[in-house]
Amino acid sequence: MALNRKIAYVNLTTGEIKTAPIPVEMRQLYLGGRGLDMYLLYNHLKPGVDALSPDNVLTVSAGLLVGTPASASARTHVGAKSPLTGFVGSSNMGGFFAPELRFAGFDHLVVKGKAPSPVYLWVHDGEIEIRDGSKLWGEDVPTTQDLIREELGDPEIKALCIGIGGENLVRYANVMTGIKNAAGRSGTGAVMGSKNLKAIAARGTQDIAIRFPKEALEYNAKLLEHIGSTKFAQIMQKWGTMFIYGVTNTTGLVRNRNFQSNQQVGGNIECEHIEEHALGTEGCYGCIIHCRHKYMIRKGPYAGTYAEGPEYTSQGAFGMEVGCNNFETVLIGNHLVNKYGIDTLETGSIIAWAMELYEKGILTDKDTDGLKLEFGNDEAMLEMIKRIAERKGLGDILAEGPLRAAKKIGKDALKYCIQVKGMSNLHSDERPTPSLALGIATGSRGSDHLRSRPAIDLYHLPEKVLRSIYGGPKPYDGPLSSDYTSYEGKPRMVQWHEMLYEAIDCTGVCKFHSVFLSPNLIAFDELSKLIYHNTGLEFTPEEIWDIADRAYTVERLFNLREGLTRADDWLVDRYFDEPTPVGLPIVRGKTLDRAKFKQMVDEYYSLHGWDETGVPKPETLKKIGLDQEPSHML
Amino acid sequence: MTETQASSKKGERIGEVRCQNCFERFSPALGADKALCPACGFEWLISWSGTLAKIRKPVWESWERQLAQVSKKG
Amino acid sequence: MEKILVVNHEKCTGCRLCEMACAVKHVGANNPARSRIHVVKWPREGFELPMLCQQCEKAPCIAVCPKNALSRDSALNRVNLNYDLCIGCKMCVIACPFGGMGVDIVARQVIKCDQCDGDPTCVRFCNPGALQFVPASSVNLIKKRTVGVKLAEVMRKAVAA
Ligand code: SF4
Ligand SMILES: [Zn+2]
Repeated sequence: MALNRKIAYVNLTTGEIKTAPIPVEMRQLYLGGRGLDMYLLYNHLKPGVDALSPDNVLTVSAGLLVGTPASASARTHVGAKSPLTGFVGSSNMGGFFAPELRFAGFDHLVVKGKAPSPVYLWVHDGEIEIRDGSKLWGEDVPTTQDLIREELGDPEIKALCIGIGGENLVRYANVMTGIKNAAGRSGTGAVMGSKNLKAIAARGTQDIAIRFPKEALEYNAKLLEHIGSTKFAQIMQKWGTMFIYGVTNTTGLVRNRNFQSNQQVGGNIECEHIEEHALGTEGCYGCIIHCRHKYMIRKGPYAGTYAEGPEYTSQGAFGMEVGCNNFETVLIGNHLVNKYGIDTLETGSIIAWAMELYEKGILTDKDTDGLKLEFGNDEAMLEMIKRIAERKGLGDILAEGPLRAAKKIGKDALKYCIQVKGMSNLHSDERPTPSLALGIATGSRGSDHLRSRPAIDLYHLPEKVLRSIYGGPKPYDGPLSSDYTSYEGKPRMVQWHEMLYEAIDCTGVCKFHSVFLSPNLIAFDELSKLIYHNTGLEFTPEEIWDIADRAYTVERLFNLREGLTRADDWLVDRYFDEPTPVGLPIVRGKTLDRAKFKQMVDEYYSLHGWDETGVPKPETLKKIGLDQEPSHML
Repeated sequence: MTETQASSKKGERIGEVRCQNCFERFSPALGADKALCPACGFEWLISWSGTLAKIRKPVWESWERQLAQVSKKG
Repeated sequence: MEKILVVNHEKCTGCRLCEMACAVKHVGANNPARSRIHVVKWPREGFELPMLCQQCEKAPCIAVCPKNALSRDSALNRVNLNYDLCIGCKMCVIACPFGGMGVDIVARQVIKCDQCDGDPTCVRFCNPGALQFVPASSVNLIKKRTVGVKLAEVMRKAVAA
């Protein structure tokens, strides 16, 4: 059945490989995917290890519902101690790798040690081999996957891999599959690189048995019909995540010129431009939203290049943040980061920061080797992407991530850097939106919109609707506000989405099918049914919340063990001191209020059952069964 | 199912957009590439995919003037 | 009414829901190796093509079957596989020019698309409409109209000018 997938422990130093079944008790505690990965990291990692040393542990997994008729059940989760933040590293991606890993008989891979020379793992029908990867070293992301298929003689092989970014230990290097699917945040690609692990290839022909196949198919058919009927899905099918730009840049909710403006006035890189370049759209495994564009770069030095994307994040990274206003530049930037395997978000943000430092004279032509690193200089921006991936000149410093780079650059550099826990913020400007701000400040993997962002807070939903969403599955009768500029009830929203996204990540279903960008999609009730039909495991919506709570608290414990304090759940001063200069009246002249923000953090901690220093109270740990961790059951 | 689920399910909002300034929903004329918000007067560029409407971006050329007008009204 | 399962590769997004639905419907498990439909992909170009049994009129599989396990089913307009007669020699797999006949390594038998007895599950799950089950008599009319829209526009303009 869907539950009989195994876990494998691979030691690259000794070459030893052990496999074990995953006890159903572990499923009941953590489901799988991100949740179980977090348990594995907490149990297998020693506190304080160097993230780029052989002591780090890399986990790769497929969620509990991957490869089942549950909606868009395609996600691969990758975990490790993050070389970027030093806290929990966790990232997931779509594509076709996770289902193939399951067809090959495995749900979780735990990779330890360091291979003496480049290798890749070959996972096929219950077996795992460590193979020589020296011929792959130095190759870009799509070529690496092609070479593996060629070497093993099977075009159906699905592989994840690193590009030269991961090889060069860029601290925000991706693990990738396909042309653009990237586990981008947290720098797990650098962890693979540090282990001399270039790729993991999978191919399998084992059944994923469905507990109630008829009901599972029927339920999914209805769910898909519902999802497909929403305006959100239709917009995503047509435009992908780039549609968001039409709302955020228009309103004034983006970072422009690093953090100097909240809107690119005159912005001309909206999603509609993709029509001139698109060849169609593509879905991940089992997904009807197919938000990924297939495109061809038509002009310039990259003419004739096939690529996929770009996402909203790349519009920010190679558009608004760096003050560039050309859609072609976004297309090229997106292609480059995916080819090299580095995080589009971190790359764009860090270049934008460097541009502001250059503008302020903190970085000079000497530092940039003569490169005019000015806002709006498309060529310089694209060149910088390359230098980061290749670790050349200033690129070598920026490849170290915000905090280490700031230290090396010195002066006031850190003051201008927009980061939380050492991870750069998305290109959104959260000064007018306290709920979004609280989410990035408290996210377990650093500044991040995919841990908890209550994006639907931007939709001005009536209070009645908010109540029907946020009032359960665990009772909540505190305040809720339809006004996104308000501080009222926002900690509950953040906590609720945190729990939902954690649960979704445990199952491997895509967040775009959940209550993330649309209030109409999958939440706890639907998850409970999906899990039951496909696996036979019975959980009430409340119990799914408890599982998510347990997994999220493990992430918190991991971070606390690595030295996290309350001060890390905070934003940089610019959010509180510099008012937003432009945008629509509703977002103009906004800063966050320190006292109110502190109060939100307090409220958020108390909703979680954590004390005022952000540490889970003993009774909280007891309630969710974490008082005995680490338990080493797996 | 929430209220928004019920109404979006009927596909009612496919041809509607929501003004980003005042949050009122309105239906631009099918295929029109510009539309004025009937509630606040802001002008938006619209894009279409069949009958599916979406705000593309503001009319930047008159952006400052429009902003000045709404803030006067406000 | 006689119907044909037609594939429009231009609409296919490569999601493989059809493969999944097919396998779960027929064997109660998801396993592409046991699915009757397969989406062939060229990932470096973003090209995808769903492939399945074409239900041939002069089917090579029927011709080659030594046990008459394969036959033309005129009621459902498909090629039928009778497992009571099949000996599993796989001659049909060799003979099929499209790879429409497959081998189910778990059930230890050959497999082919049975169009779910007139209501194909893959079609139901194909959201973009790359798979369609349409009346055989009008299959080319649908295409003519789709392509004709463009042509008509050009010609109207020509007439107007
Ligand atoms: S379900 Fe439709 S879109 Fe998805 S792979 Fe199959 S044919 Fe293509
Ligand atoms: Zn308006």
